[in-house]
Amino acid sequence: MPQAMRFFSKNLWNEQKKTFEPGMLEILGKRFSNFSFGMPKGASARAKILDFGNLFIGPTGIDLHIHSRSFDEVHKETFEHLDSAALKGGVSTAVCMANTFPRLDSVKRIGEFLKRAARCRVSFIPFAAVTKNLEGREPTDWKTLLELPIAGLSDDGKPIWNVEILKGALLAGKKSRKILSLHEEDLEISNRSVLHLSETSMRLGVRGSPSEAESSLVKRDLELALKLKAPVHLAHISSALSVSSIRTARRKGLDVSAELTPHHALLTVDDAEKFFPPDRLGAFKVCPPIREAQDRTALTRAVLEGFIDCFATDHAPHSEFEKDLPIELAAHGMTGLENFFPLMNEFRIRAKIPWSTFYHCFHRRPSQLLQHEKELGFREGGRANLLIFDPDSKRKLQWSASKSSNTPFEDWIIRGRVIEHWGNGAKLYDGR
Amino acid sequence: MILGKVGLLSTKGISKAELLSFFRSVQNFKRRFQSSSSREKTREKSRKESKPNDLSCVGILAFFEPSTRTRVSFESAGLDVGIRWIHLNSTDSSLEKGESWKDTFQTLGFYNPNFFVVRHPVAFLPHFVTRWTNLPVINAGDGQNEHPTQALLDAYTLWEKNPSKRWTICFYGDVARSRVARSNIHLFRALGHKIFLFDDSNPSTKLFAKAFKLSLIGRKKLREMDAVMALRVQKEREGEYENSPLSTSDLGAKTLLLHPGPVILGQDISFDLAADESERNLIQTQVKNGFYVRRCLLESMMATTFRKTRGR
Repeated sequence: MPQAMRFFSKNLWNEQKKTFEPGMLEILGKRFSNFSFGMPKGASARAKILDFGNLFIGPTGIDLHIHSRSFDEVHKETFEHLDSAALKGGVSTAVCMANTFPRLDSVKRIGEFLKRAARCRVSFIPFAAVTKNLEGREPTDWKTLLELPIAGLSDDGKPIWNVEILKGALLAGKKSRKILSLHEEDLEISNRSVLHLSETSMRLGVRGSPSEAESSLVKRDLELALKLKAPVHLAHISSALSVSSIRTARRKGLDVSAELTPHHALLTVDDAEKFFPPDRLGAFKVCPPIREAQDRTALTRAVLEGFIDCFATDHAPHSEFEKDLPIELAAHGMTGLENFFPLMNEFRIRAKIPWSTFYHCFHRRPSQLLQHEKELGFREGGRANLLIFDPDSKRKLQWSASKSSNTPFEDWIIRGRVIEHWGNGAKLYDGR
Repeated sequence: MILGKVGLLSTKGISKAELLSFFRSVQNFKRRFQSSSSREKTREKSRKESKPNDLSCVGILAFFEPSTRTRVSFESAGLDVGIRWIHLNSTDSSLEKGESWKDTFQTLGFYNPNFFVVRHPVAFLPHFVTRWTNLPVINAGDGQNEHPTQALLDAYTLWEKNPSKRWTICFYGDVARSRVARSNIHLFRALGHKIFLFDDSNPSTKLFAKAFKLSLIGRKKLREMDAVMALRVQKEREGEYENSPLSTSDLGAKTLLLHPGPVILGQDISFDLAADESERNLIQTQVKNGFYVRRCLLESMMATTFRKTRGR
């Protein structure tokens, strides 16, 4: 019988009451065996006691959107790097998009991926591609793929333009109760743009993409999902227009979930010129682009009202030779995994988001979507994953765990720090 | 100094004083050049300076977009001060074989040029060339971003007409895709000119006006302008621009006409306006001044890079 461990803190997350309270949690083996709040009960003689004082103890993050770059793009990222980055960023489960090279579009590839992922301390779950080679033309073998231990289907990086294929994928997702994650972008409208169409893009003389490039497809797809009564998940939502479509669909009863990334939560297109000289602008290039202050306000409100219900990094590592280029030539994407918790915590503070909403987006809703709610719940019987953190300590962000560091938050000094990351009852990361 | 350590990448940040002193040097040179006796002397002097063995200023003309006037005026102006040119066209390069821009320019940098003149369809590429090679770069047009030497010659052309005047100038045409306009705005502002945009009711033009805080004016108001600069429809930059050409009846009797060229007759400006050979038509003057402005710029480039790289 393994020895029980008891964690004491004045700020232990109470999942029932949705607040932090003084309390004690007990871990036995790989599971939480007890939570008690208020005055902790007397210590059992056999338990190992860990007192964290004023530090906070809460659930780990579940990130529904990262790009693993496995298999062939090891110059950008490896599983070893991802593993350390996720632990540092407070992420215990990360869902990987199918746009690897070669693509995750067959049983064989998914098998290879799962085999490599199994060596990691963090749980990496793949999406399977909706269409072969993500070309949007020929569906993959959904039936067989969805029986594998995967998160669901996604062609992220590319939209699904063909309505018949989308219909089929929506129904397949519905039947399997797995996620269908959509990258919403009308490529004709976005037209190889590099920034949001705005005064900034005009001043810099670079191609801009309007919000309609996203919202027109969001609208089309939500209407289709409503017709089919099929749940749908929207990756990296960036615009106020899309938020209003989500709101409408949700009010009509659609089970739609949506992501907010740290960069869309914390930046606006104005920051491009404010913080980046012309030869550093590549760092700001991401798809969908970072939009205006009014969009950021709408996204924040959507989080508060529950219409956006998942935080996700869209961690997209690129090496220097792909990113350190004129913005029109630079690759799309930003890293974020290794500072996911501090970035979203900073957003929580700035946007005055209650802890309950924070954890809903950071942990609960993504775990529901993965059908892991019970397994990953921060309660008795749940897997013993937890973060010990300080939400208020200010610190300059370090970017060293991921193999690439193409981030727009390079020198940011923000609040929140993961001090320890425990997974399956073992300490996996110490950030002291 | 118009030319910084990195060369001339943008007109942003150039001060009025710097401009005026540059314009005076251009004017002096132009005067000397235009009197035929001294013109020969100037040429002779240049030739003497350009004895192959002790001459040391080599420039690479790297043009990755079609260009006639900019490239040839740089080349001719450079020859005049004794610069030896290496020409690079898009078809020469290993880029055809898939080499990256960084590798291409770094390789060129290893062959000991003193500076680059770069025209490229990608915005901000010249900024990277100077970083990759540690050499000064003159931006001869980067995507839709800037075209600093064109702006210098435009501003000079107006200054030459009347050095003390604060002009009212209106851009007419496809301004949103115009790198000339983007470069001009900074210089005109530095000189205290007042800039307007012709309101063609195109949403891009409106956004451009907001971005640069410029006022839009209607056709009737064009007559009140001191100068109107017509712009070319940028077909090569996916221009789908609809607007009637600028015509004689749009302009007041004294309104000056500028155009960065090449002029597309009947599209940018009407045939009757193009045929106007009166003094108000400055289009040819701009072309001529292109030579003088670039010549003076290259002279100072030579003076700085010469000393720096050859220790003279």
